[in-house]
Amino acid sequence: MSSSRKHILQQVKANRAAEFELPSLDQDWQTFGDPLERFCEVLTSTGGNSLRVNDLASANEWFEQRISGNADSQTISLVEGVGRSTLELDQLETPQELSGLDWAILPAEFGVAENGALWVTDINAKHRAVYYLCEHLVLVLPASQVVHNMPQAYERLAGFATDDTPPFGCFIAGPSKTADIEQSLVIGAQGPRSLDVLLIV
Amino acid sequence: MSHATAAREFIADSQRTKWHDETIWFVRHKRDLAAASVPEWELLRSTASAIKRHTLSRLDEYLEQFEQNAIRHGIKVHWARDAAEHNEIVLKLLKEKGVTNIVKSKSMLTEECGLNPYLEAAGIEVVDTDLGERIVQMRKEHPSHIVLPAIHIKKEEVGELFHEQLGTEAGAADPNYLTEAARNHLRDKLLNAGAGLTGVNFAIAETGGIVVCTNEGNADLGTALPPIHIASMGIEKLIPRLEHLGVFLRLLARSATGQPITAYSSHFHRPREGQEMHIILVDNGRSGILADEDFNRSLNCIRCGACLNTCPVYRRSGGHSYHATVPGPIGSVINPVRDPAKFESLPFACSLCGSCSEVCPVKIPLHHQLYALRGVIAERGLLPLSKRAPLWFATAVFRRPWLYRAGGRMARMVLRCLPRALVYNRLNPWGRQRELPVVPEQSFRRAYADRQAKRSK
Ligand code: SF4
Repeated sequence: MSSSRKHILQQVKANRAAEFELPSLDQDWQTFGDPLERFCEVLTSTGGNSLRVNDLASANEWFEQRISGNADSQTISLVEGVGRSTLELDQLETPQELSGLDWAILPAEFGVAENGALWVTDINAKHRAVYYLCEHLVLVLPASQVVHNMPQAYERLAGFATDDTPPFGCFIAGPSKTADIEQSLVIGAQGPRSLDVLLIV
Repeated sequence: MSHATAAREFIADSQRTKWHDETIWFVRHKRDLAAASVPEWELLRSTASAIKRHTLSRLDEYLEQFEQNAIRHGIKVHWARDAAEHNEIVLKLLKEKGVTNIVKSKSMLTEECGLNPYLEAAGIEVVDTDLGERIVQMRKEHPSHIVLPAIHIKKEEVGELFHEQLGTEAGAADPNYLTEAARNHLRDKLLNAGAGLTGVNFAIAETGGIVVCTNEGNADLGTALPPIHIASMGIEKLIPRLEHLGVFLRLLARSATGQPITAYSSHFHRPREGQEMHIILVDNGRSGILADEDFNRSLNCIRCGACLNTCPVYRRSGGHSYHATVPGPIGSVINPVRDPAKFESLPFACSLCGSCSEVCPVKIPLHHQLYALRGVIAERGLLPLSKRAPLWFATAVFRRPWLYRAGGRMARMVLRCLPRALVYNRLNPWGRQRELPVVPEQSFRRAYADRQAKRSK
């Protein structure tokens, strides 16, 4: 195996393409007059839904209404004060036990106005599958935490993947979807069927 | 088989050809809208292109840096010189853990390596979890597009397939209903898989991690559930730093489907607790292409599929007519560069319209390369007789002005009374889709001379 490593590296070194400078990323990237407004607009276009609420109590009210009539739905919440967990994520041995989970209410770290994406990590989520295996995902985000564009997003992420940062992070933009059958957009492929973003203003 | 021969079957059904063309043009149109919504689109393209070209000029350093960081994070790194070695590594890892069923998210590299049939022959159940890939897998076919694997299949055909294999209602063809059936089927496979395989969209030297982009979330489920994650990547997938993702993620989905970003862009940097994570770095001819100054920029490709969607030949001939893992303009470059004898016809499946170079987010000069490849193929004597003979004839005529003049005179006379059967027959493929123009009274040379004479009066 290590002989292949040596061989590939030797080949690559011997065959290097001509020297080419690394460009500067310090450019005038797209920004928006009202990034929050733009974030909500793009999120809608990705099939997601956003709602501005004043505090966690109103977020909770919204959620109670959203699930009304489904008293027996399974929920996991990692946002204190919003929803009630019927399962404890930390207590589950395997991620497979999340199967059948209806709702997951989880915090997002920040949002990106240009594409409506939200950054989430598994730092407090023992099983990261919770983001993907739930039927419906609710992300909670302080409205102040919306950056303009992806270059700014990565500025915020500088240092990600150094030793004490989470091993896993993901930009989530809208619910799971596919257009593999004749290009007809269908929401809810393998992952969640809906994404609600609660913006705490 | 030549591209033209393989395409014949596809275009025989003209309704279907038209449908295919229009469906894919729709995707190209969405790409245009997305590109136009970013004011600095051209700056993004040139930045992305420069980052990739820089990476290729130091690829060995970045590979070593990537490996070091990945290992530091507890990821196991493997190196494979070719497809066979890649497949062996995968099988060995599965055998060690006694895994007999795996789920895969989209990876053109494993297609290239022929991983599925290899594992199946060893008794392993392999399930592609991307819906399009699952459809072609169930039909025992290959993807016809690198981003939209089942773009050539109609919903009625999916309905029939699912009726037979998943027990959906006979005659049902509603995409919502069919996707729901696939969801249940695939979730079941995902929950019970012994290992998850993914491709890699970007690998970051600085952090030793990888990024995988999907819309369905299947790569996430396929790695968040099973106890092993194996990622297969071509060595050209590297970028130097995390911040460079801020350029590439802005380009990828917009170029591919017109979305501002894929629904899930997952950054994997360490195994989950109790999980094993492996990355296989695959060469399989890439280091050879690197040495080729004329064509090594093809390694910059981020597999967005935009050049396929815009290509008038691809849209009308279908992906399978290329007989290669990667079809379309980029496929017509990388396949003949690796194996000119096998893929001699692909650079000719091109009208040189230049549209592919125009849309490519990393600015690969695709149509220039396709043109240059024609020269390479001619030089190596790989042109078929049907192309060689007319070229030989044209060379002979153009070398001798008198012969050219005489030929023109004769043609103007003869063409007027030529029986159609002489032009439109089986021996002349040129006549198949064309009408000859009406023959002018006098030659161009004559008309030009007359005009000059009139002017000087
Ligand atoms: S060559 Fe360019 S346009 Fe074509 S798939 Fe690759 S990156 Fe996309």
